This record gives sequence, C-alpha cells and structure tokens, in this order.
Amino acid sequence: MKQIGKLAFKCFCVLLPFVVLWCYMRQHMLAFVDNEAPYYIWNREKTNSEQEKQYRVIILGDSVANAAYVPEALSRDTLNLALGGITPMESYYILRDWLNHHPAPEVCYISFQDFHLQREDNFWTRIMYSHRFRPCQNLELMKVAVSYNEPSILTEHYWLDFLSYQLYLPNKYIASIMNAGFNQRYKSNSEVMQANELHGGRYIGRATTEYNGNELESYNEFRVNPLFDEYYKKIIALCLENGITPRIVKLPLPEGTQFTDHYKKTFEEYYEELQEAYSSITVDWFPEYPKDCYYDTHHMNSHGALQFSLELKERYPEDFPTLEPDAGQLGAIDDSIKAENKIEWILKWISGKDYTVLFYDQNGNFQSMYEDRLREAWAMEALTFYSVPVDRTEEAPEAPLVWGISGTEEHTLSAAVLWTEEGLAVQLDGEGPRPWVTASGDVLGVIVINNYDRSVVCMKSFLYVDEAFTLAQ
Amino acid sequence: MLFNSMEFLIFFPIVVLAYFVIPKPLKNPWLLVSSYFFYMCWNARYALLLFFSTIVTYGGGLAMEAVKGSRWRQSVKGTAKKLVLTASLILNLAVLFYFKYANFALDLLGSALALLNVKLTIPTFDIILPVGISFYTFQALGYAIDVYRDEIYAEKNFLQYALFVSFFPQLVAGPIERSKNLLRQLSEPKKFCYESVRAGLLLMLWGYFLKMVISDRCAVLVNTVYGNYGTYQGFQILLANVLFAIQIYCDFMGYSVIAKGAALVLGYRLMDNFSQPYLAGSVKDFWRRWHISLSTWLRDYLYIPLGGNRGSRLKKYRNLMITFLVSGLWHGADFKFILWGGIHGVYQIAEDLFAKPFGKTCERLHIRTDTFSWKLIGIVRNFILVDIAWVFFRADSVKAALEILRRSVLLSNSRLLLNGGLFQLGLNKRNMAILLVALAALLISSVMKERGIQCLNWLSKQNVVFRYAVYWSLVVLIIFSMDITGQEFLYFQF
Repeated sequence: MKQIGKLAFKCFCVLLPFVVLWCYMRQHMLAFVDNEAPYYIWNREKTNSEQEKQYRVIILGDSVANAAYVPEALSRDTLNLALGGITPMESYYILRDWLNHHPAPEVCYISFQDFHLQREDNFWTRIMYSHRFRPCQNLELMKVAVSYNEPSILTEHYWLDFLSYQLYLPNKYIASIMNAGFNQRYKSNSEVMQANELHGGRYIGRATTEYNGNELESYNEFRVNPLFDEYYKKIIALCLENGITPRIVKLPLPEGTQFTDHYKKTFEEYYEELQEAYSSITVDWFPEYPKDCYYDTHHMNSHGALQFSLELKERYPEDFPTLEPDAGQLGAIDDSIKAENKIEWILKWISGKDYTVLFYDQNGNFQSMYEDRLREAWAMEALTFYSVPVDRTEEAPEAPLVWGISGTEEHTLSAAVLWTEEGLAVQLDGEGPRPWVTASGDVLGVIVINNYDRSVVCMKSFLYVDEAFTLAQ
Repeated sequence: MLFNSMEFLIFFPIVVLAYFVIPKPLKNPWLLVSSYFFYMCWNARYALLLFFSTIVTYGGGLAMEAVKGSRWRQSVKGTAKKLVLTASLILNLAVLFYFKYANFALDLLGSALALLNVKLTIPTFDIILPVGISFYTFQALGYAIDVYRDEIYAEKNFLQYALFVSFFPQLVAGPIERSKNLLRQLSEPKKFCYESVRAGLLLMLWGYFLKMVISDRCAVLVNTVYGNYGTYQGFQILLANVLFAIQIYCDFMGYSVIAKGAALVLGYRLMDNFSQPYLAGSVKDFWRRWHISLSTWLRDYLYIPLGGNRGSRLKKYRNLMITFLVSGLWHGADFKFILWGGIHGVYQIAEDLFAKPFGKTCERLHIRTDTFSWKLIGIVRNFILVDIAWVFFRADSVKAALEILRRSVLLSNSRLLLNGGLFQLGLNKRNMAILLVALAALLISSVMKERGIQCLNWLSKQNVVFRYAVYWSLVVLIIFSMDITGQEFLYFQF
C-alpha cells in the first residue's frame, strides 16, 4: 500500500506541469481562448447572474439574429442573447438559464436562419469550447443528441470530446494557449466582453463593411430537423408558461435571394401548424433588404441592423416604448456612431434622440445640398437643421459656415463655433471651447455631440465624391 | 483504440488497477477480456478473425502435441505434424491473403490479362484491412512453427494462449512476440511491483514523447510535401525525406516503447523492437536494429528454412531477396512496398559483394576503419541509402516515388535555407525549434544506449532536480504537441 501511495505521489509530481496548466486553463480562460469565445462566456455570465436591470425584451437565435437586433436602437431594456452558430436547442437552455436567474421578460424574439433549424454548426468549437453551459446541461444536450442520433453533434468520439472539454484537457485548448502566447489575449478578450456588455449582447456585424459578392442563396424547401423542432416548440412552450410573448421573426435576406414557391408553401405550412398549436405566437417574414445592408450573404452589417431594428420598433411599438435612454444605451449608441462611415447613418442613429451633429461647411454649399436633396434622400424629416453661429475673428474673417442638425425637433444644445489659438473649437452651452479637429483640405467636418451628457461623441471628416459623402482617411 | 487517444488514457488505468486488485485466477481472463475490448473498439466484428487465428493455431498446436505423444512411427508423426502445420499455415495465411492481398492479386491478374489483350472486368472486394492482422497472424504462426519444431510445448490453457495472441499492448503493431518469451510469462500472473510499474510508466512517457513530439511534428511537414510533391523540389523534398525517416522511426519506436511500457506496468517484458537503427553502419546492421521482432521472425521462419547462408553465394542472395521481398509484401499489398523490400535486398547483396574488395582497398590505402570519422561516414552513407528506400515506402506509388527522387536533386532552391522558406512547409519556427530540441534528446539517448547505458537506469541515479527537469520537459513538450497530434500510428496499416 505504501508503495502504491509512493507511486501515486511520484506520478503526481511528474505530471505537475500538467496539473499547473490545468489549473491555469480552468481559472483563466479569457487569457487564452480565441476572440469569439468571450461572447459565449459573456452570454453564460449574463444569463446566470442576477442583473439589477430588468429586461423587457430578449432576443434568442443564431448569428443572423445576433447581427440584426440592435438593443441600443430598440430600447434600453432589450437584450440580445442570440449566439453565433446555435440552434433552438441551445437557445432553449439559454432561455432557461435566464429564467432561472431573472424575472421573465415580456417579449421574446426568436429568429433562426434556416441552416440552424437543420443542423448544428458550432456545438463543439463554440458551445463546448467556451463552456457556455454547465456540465449537467451539456450532458443533457449530449443525451438528446444521442437519442435523436444527430450527426452534426455526434462526432466519431463524441463522449471523449465531451469529456475533454468538460475536464478542460489540454488536447482541446493547447492550440489556443500556444496561439495566445499563454496570456496575450486577456486584454483583448476582456475588451470584447466589455464591448459586448455595452451593446447588449450584439457582437456580429457591428462594422459597416458591405457585401460586394454576387453569390446569393436560393431556398427550395423549408425544413426543420426533428431535434430542433422539438426545441423550437420547447422554447415557445417555456415562453408561454412564463407569460412571455414569443415573436418569431424570419429576418430579411439580401435582395436577390431566391425563395421558390415550394419553399414559401413549406414555410407557411410549418408555421401555420405551429400557430395552431400555440395560438398566441406571431410569425413575421421581413422583406429583403438592399445588399449594402449586409456584410455577407446572411448577416446584416450595422446599417442593415439599424434599419431592421427601427422597422421592428415601428411594427411593434408596444414592445419598444420610447423611453429616455439610460447611460448604457447612450454608451452603445455613442460607440455605434463612432464606428459609422456615412453621414446619413449617423443621422439615423441620432434621429429621435437628443444628439446634435455640427457640420463645418468649407465649401459653403452643404445647406443647399441638404435641403434640396439630402434631406429627402436620407428620409430625415424629423431632424432639425439650423445655422450655428460662428465667431468670425479678425484672423479668420471668411471662416466657413457651420450647420447643426438636431436629433429632436427642439434643439437643447446651444453651440457656437469659434477660432482659438489652437484652431477651430466648439463651445457648448457657454462652456469652455473644445477643439474641433477636421481633416485638411476640402472636407465637410462633422462633430457629434451627445446632448444628454454634453460629451463629444466623435469628430469625422467627409469628402464629397460622386455625389456622396465618403469618410476622409 | 490508439495509445495516444483519450480512450486509452481511460482504458489503461482501469485495466491496470483492476489487474492488480482482482484475485490471481481472474487476472489472465481479465487481460484477455480487456485485450479483446481494446481490439473491438476499432471494429467489433473483426475480433472474430483474431479469435479464428487463435483457435486455428491453438488447435494446431494441440494436434501437433498429440501427434508427438502418439505411438505412431516417427516418419508418420513427422508427416502428420507437417500436415497439421501446413493446415494451420494455410488457414491463417488464407485469411491474411483475403483481407490484405486479395484486391492486389486481382489487380495483378487484371493487369496481366490486359497485357495479353484479354479484356475482363474483375470485381474487387470491399474489404477493410483488419488492424494488426499481419502482426497477430505472424505471432500465432510463429507459435505453431515453434511447436512443430519441438522448441516449445503446445499451450494447453486456451485462455492463456488466447491472451498470448491478443495481449493488448502489442496486439495491433507488435512487437511480434515469440511464444518462448511472452507465452511463458503469461503462465504466471504478476503481482504489483513498484519498480516495474515505475519503469513501465517512464517508458510510456518516452514513447509518447517520440510519437507526439517528434513523429507527429515531422508528419506535418512530410504530409505537406508528399501531399503535393509536384510543387516542391530540392531542399524541400530532401528535408521531407529526412523527416520521414525520423517520423517512421519515432512513430513505430514510440508505439513499441509504449507497448513495452504498458506491458511492463502489468509486469510483462516484451522484446526490444529497435536498437538505434540510424546509428547502423551498414544496411545489414540496420536490419539487426530495425523492427527486430519482424526481421528475426523472417530470419527464423523464412530465411533459415530457405537455406539461409548455406549453399552457394547465389542461393544465399536468392534467399535474401525472397526474405526482403516478403518483408516488403508484409508491409502492404502494393508494388511500392515490394520494391522497398527489394531495394533493401539489393543493398545487402551489394554490401556483401563489395565487402571484401572494399576492405582490401581500405587496407591498401591504409584507411583506418576503427575511427569515429569512418564510423560516422558509414552511418551517414547508410542513412542516405535507407532514406532513399523510404521514399518508395512513403510515396503514394512507385511513379510518385521516382518523381520525388528526381525532384529531390533539383537543388536550385538553396536560398530557402536562408530566407526561412523551409518554415512555410507546415512547421513554423516554434515547431521547428521544438523538433530540434526533441531530436537532440533522441540523439543523446540513442548514443547513450549505443554505448550500453540504459537511459532509464542512468536517469534514476541522477539527482532529483535533474530527474524532474527531464520528466517535466517531456511532459511539457508532450502537452504542447497535443495540438498537432491525433494521427494514427503508421504501422497500424500493416
């Protein structure tokens, strides 16, 4: 017995590097996991911890849903819990996690791209890799997958893969650790988590990149895999049990995507059957959007997502009442505006909100352009356009004109533009001048001001090329 | 079940723990059940083939023993034994032939008929090659021949014999054990022995190091180049060829060492399958050191019965060629393997033919052949010869091998040596550095063994800091090789 103990101790000593590494992997996942895993970790932490904030609307779905629903544009109490690559199966457990730790929301939007109603995409590389669910939930998922013999989950050695992930074994994480140089990813992953928190869980398509390809999909038949069908229904049942209104939304796809009659028929049949079983659900199929609203064949970019979210808000005003934005929502809006590359989309972001955009018009023709053409083209009737006083000094008697556009009808900000020794500056409500940096040359300088806290959100410069404003580098 | 798989890491401790805990009469049955489970993890149905081979050779052994003890005349006994052995050989080889060589033979037949302008569509069999069939068939046949030669008594205990054929550490890729060694050991179930468990586990650690750190790392580059050899040439191919020689050595030796270690943990000693083959000074010497269990099997059961060195030089060369062609064929049903065996046969004949004149020339030129530099030249020359033959072994076909050899002498891309182009072949600088460190460790251990120093014994005498520095280095390198592992052992296919 003594010898066995000695042997066990020596084995432990020899394997000490493994033990140390294991402890590290167990405790510091953010330090090495790839840059997508933090979204899943955030989702886990968000759903499994008590939140001070009450959420009225939650979004469930896959990456397409994650990209499309913009919480900051919808309302301050909307949370996007959709995750890339997941199916109704995982979404059901996300909803259950949420309900176990929070009061039930009033509405739950459910959106899945057809692909994720048919097969798993990211079960091993995302859900298991990032430990999105607890071991008992993963076990449940595996058992269900086995009972349905789901090939997209049942890999060749699925129980061993399952164990490897559950036990944080190096065979599943060593590549990440090596690529991360042990802990080089901690900072970037923490920033990803913070950004995700800021944007209410929306992480896909936050950029303005536009899809330039021509390969659009053609849909011939709407099918739901029995396993995911069961979970789709379980989500709805769970919503109804908890007094949540489930809204199923088929998200818009790029113009040119083909849907055959057979597809439309099978789609309608499926949802009619679902509505017969659960009469209180709503099913919407949003029309196609222009290709420049997408960054690939399915996922909306920030422009498309904003447009969709505003339309959704219009369609269901009762779900998204107009409330004074809170600090979190304003932070997210500010962040989204910072990422914008087009003036019209900046204006869409501020529309209806107490923001001001000032234009430093070096050409002197912005007013006429805006009033003659841009206002209509950008559909910005609600915005208020006005002239901003410019303090013309002796040094700059011919200083360009400055215009302001307010997001609301009454502009609460009193802004003035002046020249200081450092150059152009803007003075808000009589406070001290703040420098306004514009690119040199013949550009339209833009400064966005958040009137709620009187902060400057961003300063950008645009060139007028081919009858459109493009961001100056 | 691979030794480098999660399954084995679960399976092995369970088998070992249970083995030492259960009562003595149950130990061998437990190992037998475990061994069959181990095999059935790959394909349950094919365990029947293993069982068939076991039954045939077990029955054959008993029959030969019965003949031996009978009152028949000596000549009748001899004939009867020969008949039993022949039946045993035919049945086993027939199974091996069907599963391994049938399609190859049909292809050959088709090609031969085509040459004669006979157009015939010959269907091929849809067969999966049973893992380890060549190993356990040869092991079982070795037993039958030993019984026939009266070198051992036939084993009467079926469970023990079945365990001999199916003993899991060496079941699927050898070493091809001799009944005189393993069967005898299996008669006495082992008790827990701290020293042998410790030594076995350390051997396993070394085996994993060879497989996962060296072999699998080499495989990345080798697969890149061989998978698309048309786009590579010169130094890229030369590097791939050298790394393949290392890959196959570390892969197979890694497996053999893990097998030896696993058996030792249970208290059994398997034979050494390798003895620093790349330190051999001649091809003949190489074959004394490479895949020893197969080369001695072929020597004892084929080469010597064919006549061996006896008779004329021509007969000796004939026997040598037959043995090496069979060795090639044993490795796989493909011309490239036969050619690979044939090349080694030719090497050995050439060595034998030129040995005397070469020795005389050295004498006349007063070249000292007992110096380190002379030995080194021999080692390098031998490595080059063996490596050329490996190209046929690794390439997809003979044609591909010839093209690879042709491209390997197009040395116009020497700038790759300086501009980091060699890091574009699948192994980046970090992995290359790890590989070099690991190869240095392998070289040191090989040289030590060559000088008669048993590394494990030597290591156990060092101070604790050094010992653990070595253990931890191995463990760390293995862990950091997990991202490129998961490849099957090469010798599983044979």
